[in-house]
Amino acid sequence: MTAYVMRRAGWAIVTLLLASVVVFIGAHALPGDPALALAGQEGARDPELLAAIRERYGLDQPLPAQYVAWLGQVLQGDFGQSIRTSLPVADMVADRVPVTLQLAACSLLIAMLVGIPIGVLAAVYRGRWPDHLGNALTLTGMSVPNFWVGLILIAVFAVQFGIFPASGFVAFADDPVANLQHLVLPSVVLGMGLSAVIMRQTRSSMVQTLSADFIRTARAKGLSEWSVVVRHALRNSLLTVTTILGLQLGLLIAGSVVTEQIFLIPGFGKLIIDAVATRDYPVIQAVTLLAAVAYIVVNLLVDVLYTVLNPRVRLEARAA
Amino acid sequence: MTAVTAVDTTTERVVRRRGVLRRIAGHRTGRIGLVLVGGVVLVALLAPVLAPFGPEEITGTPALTGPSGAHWLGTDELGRDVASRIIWGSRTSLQVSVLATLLALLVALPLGLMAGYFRGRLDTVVMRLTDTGLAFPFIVLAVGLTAIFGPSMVNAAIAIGISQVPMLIRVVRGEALAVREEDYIAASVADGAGSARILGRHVLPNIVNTLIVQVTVLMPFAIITESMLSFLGLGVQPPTPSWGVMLTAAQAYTAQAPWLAVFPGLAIFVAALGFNLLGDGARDALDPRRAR
Repeated sequence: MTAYVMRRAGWAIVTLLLASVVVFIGAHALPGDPALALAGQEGARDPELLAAIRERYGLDQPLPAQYVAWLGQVLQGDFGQSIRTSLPVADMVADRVPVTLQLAACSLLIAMLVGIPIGVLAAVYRGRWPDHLGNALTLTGMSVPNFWVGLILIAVFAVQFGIFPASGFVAFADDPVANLQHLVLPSVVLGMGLSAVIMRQTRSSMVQTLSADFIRTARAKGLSEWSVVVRHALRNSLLTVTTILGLQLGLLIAGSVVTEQIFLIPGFGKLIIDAVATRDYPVIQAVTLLAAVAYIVVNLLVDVLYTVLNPRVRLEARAA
Repeated sequence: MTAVTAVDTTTERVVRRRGVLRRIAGHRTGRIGLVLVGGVVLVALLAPVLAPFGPEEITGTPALTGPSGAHWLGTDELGRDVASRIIWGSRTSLQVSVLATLLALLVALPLGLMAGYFRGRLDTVVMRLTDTGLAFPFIVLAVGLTAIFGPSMVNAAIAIGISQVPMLIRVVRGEALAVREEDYIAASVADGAGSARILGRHVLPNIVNTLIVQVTVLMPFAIITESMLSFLGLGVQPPTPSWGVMLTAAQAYTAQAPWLAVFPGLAIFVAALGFNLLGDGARDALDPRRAR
């Protein structure tokens, strides 16, 4: 068990290092000379200024040396300075991440409130109309472009009826009510795709659990159907559903990019787009690396958690 | 993975291929998917005949005119016919998604096959790289690649295709791993067949069903992602008709001209839904392990 976790963690570190190399090379493959961008129009004609800038930011060093220097700083939490705003990148990211985390948490909540009950009903009434309805909803959720739903929601609820604000963000600490009002539409948009995934997962996991022996035992004991489904089957199924959620982090980040762009929310996703649009190397490096780190760490945790919680996987891991 | 699929005569293969379409058509949702996908493909092929106006033609009707007899879906902010642009846009959408899907297959298929079949060090290296690729949310990959190569239709296709390679390698490798343990592979090795021959004539035909299902997953993903990248300004560039580009423009006129936002989105939805339904049918019809 410990050996399995250690090996799994070891591979995660290797993957992280490879990811950092990819991020580093990728950022340098972007067209445009950051020294020129830094110097501005006037400075671009001044070779001495350009050389000074290159030296200051280490741009004159060979790539491997730049990589090692960069990695050393990153490990100390120093992501350098944004070329565009001259602010420390770490601070910029730290400002944005809580916004996206709140958005992600709200959409996850919506997705679970919608996905789990419908998934359960679809499994219990397998092959009958709740199942077909669930399937139709899942397919719709997977086929509908969420940014389009965002546009339509803005047109209806913000422009037409003025129930919710069309865009922007207010910090929870400043005004909790306005904060939540601003988050309703974006959370629905971001939670939509996720709810389809959760619905599908809950259904298939419930179908499997409901045919297990202990469910028959529970029914034989004379427990009510509600008790069998919710207390026995759902509790067991939620384990698989939770682990699947770890894999949806990529979907969540992708969704946050476009959602934050539509609703003009100053979060992590908008930072990605803004950084790419302005060729802000240090910021691009930081956000892509952090996204990869988050994904690798979350999936490592999910794997380990799954091993701890599920005795069967534990045995397989030992056998392997 | 049935014994029948291992039989390697040309006639057998033809019969089996025809069977795939028929089996999907026999599946309830698969049939709807076939109709929708067929419809979108037909619209794309017949765009010059079906579209009343050219894709970039300024019709002379005032800009932002609502739906009417002359312009079924109204006109956009430059006085172009929205219906025509949606019809022409189907070409853009399908071109990008087919190109992206082909590219993903072209890269992932050989790597996945070889990693799964030869195992050993090659497998370790490929899987490590795959894990690295998977660690990047596809949007970061797509956005990053578009940023490196510049926004254009072909680059959007490349970005979408490459972002799906790691996932596809995993699937192909998994299948190759399973097939290599089959008896007929051992028989073929004993028969003196080379690795290339075994891979091409035994392993590949046996994973075709899985590949078909994967394509039906990749296509709707590519359609939606193309529209999303184009919407963000990172994909197809105006004035080329793309559903995503149309939605970018529509964003500014949600109050005066809501129809601008409605119809391109519906087009994306119908195209993606078609492929998703087709995929549902394909999965049920082709995967013997999946319970009905």
